[in-house]
Amino acid sequence: MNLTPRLFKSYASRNVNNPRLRKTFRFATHHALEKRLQLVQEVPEWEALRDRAHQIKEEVIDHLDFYLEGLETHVTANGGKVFWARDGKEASDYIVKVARRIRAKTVVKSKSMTTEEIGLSRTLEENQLEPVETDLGEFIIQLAHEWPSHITAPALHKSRGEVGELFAEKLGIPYTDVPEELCEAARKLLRSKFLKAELGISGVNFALADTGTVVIVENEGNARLSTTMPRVHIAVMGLEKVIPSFNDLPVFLRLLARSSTGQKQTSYVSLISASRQPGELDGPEEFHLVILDNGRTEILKDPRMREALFCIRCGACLNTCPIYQRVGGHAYGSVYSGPIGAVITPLLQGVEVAKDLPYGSSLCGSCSGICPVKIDIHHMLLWLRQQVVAGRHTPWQERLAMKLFLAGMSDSALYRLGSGALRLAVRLGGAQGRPLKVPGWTQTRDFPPLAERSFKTLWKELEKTEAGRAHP
Amino acid sequence: MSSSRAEIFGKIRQALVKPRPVHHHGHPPAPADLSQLFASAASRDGLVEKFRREFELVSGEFVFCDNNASIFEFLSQLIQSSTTTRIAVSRHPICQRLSIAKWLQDRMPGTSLLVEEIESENPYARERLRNAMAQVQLSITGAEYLIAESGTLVVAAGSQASRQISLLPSIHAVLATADQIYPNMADLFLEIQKKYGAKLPGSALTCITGPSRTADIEKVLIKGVHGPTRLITIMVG
Ligand code: SF4
Repeated sequence: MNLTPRLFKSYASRNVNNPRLRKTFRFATHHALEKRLQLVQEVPEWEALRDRAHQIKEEVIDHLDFYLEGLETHVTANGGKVFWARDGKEASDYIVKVARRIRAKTVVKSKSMTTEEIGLSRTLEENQLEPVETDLGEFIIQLAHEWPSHITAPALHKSRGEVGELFAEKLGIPYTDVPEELCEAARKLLRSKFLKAELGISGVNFALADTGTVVIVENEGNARLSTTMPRVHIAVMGLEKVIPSFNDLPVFLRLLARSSTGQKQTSYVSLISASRQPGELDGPEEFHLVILDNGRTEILKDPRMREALFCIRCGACLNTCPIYQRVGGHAYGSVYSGPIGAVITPLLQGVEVAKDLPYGSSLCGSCSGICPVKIDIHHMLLWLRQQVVAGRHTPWQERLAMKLFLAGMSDSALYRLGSGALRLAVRLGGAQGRPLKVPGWTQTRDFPPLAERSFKTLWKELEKTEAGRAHP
Repeated sequence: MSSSRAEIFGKIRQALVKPRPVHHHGHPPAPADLSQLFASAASRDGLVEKFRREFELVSGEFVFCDNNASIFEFLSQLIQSSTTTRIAVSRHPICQRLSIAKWLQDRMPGTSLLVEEIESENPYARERLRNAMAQVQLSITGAEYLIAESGTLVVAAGSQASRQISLLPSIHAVLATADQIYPNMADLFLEIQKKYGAKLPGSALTCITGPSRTADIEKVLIKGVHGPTRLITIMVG
């Protein structure tokens, strides 16, 4: 598989026919949903919290320049360095520059979707640096040269046996499929990397505008190590990750862990405001914050799509999505998968590249229903479909059929003519009462059988008999 | 670089000229009603018990010690049962008040590693500490705050003088007192902001909820990945 959303349809059908993968995704997503539900039911304020989170994100995104300036001011006042990057290349170049200056060789990275998005590890490798993914899931997919199949559980698609084989091959350890032993092998290797790495790179879950603090949420402790042990810490964030205040954080933290992993709180939430302060015995000597645009200001331009920037990457919409559950994360051909991936990927890479993703939805609305920040995901998918059509990215046959359909639907005479003709064709073809076959359309959808008589005819008959009954 | 900044801000301002279709009121969320959003976890009754229950649910170990003798007895047992010889004690005020470091030195001369001896502005000393800390098996530190709703310990890089001390050792024992417990995170954060305003203390605050864990391989829960395998709260009465 290649990392491209162009092949969504073929990837999806391949994955749907892979029973092992289907089972893995069904188990993992249901497991997460059950744990989530249990914890959410314990919080009577859940809906109010979602409303508030949405409201806070609205406030930020509608005044993004104001809050980003605040963030910059406070980070700088705390002694950190802020770097603005228009795109992934600018961000990566800056990081390479810092690495060169401090003569870094080993770079430890904690899990970050943003650095996945810009392919940072590849750039670091090209520059003779050794990037080490330190989250267990990320470590596994780095060894396998793959990309994440889930926003919060990147190696979700891998079975323990596959991980065992991978470790045996790449790390030269004896084969085992015991998760504890695999974890221990990774832990040992990574501990040595943490101790020698000169540069640590992390993502950012939230950046607090009024204190200049970056917040990193995790379970393993690898993000804490990545931001503590090396001499320099660079945090990379998409510019939408800013929130107004330290006081807003509890709202998001009460929602996030429950929504994503079904925990009340993750094992670690780090609030990092600065590099090592006088009197402290450890911690990095330098703190840099890279604030990345990479297409986000384009999303901002379309008022209907702005909500896509509210996402806190909890992964709940992936878990609940009937499509994601069946096709798996890799089918999307993007580091962002699932419903929100189907929104963000076309917006970041262009609808022409990812034109099939908005159709990878049953429009059931389960994603919008579960989203802790109440993003109207499924309506955005509809709007994106509109753009796909408006941009003439659908096949000409479909466009023609839709034109005819539109004409028929807006003129009753034409409608009668068309449906009459269709009914005649069906009868001549001897296909009454059977679902219709339309090449290219009914491969993946049903075209229900045509009723033998139209509603209008039935209605007329009914009127007659009713009239007969009323006036005997 | 500054041109990137100017360009990004230019794009943002241009984009925001168009309002979103759903109208909103544009008031920054008022912190006052934050407490309403946490109403179900706001009670101040039985906070120690509540904390204990939640803490144990996330595999934390909780002990209550109502006098100094029982603290030292517990620590002795812990050290014995884990056959630990490498121990670090943080600079947190509670460790100093209880003279944990001195007790340890008297009890096990030469075997413990003491953060107290390190001069923080000497880079060589810091490097030595870093290497030594990687070998430590047990750390004894103090909490800043506790959160009952989620069984969370909040530790500060500032008052511990270290971030590693709560992270590298495989057993992390934290001394705490009942008056440090807040019912929920919103109450605590309002309090912190009242106290510190825009300048949070030290380089980092860390909320710790149970030992480090992962479920990245087939959702199998494994405790003790990169951080401590055992997390212990010693509630000092
Ligand atoms: S869109 Fe909502 S549910 Fe999906 S990952 Fe983002 S925050 Fe979570």
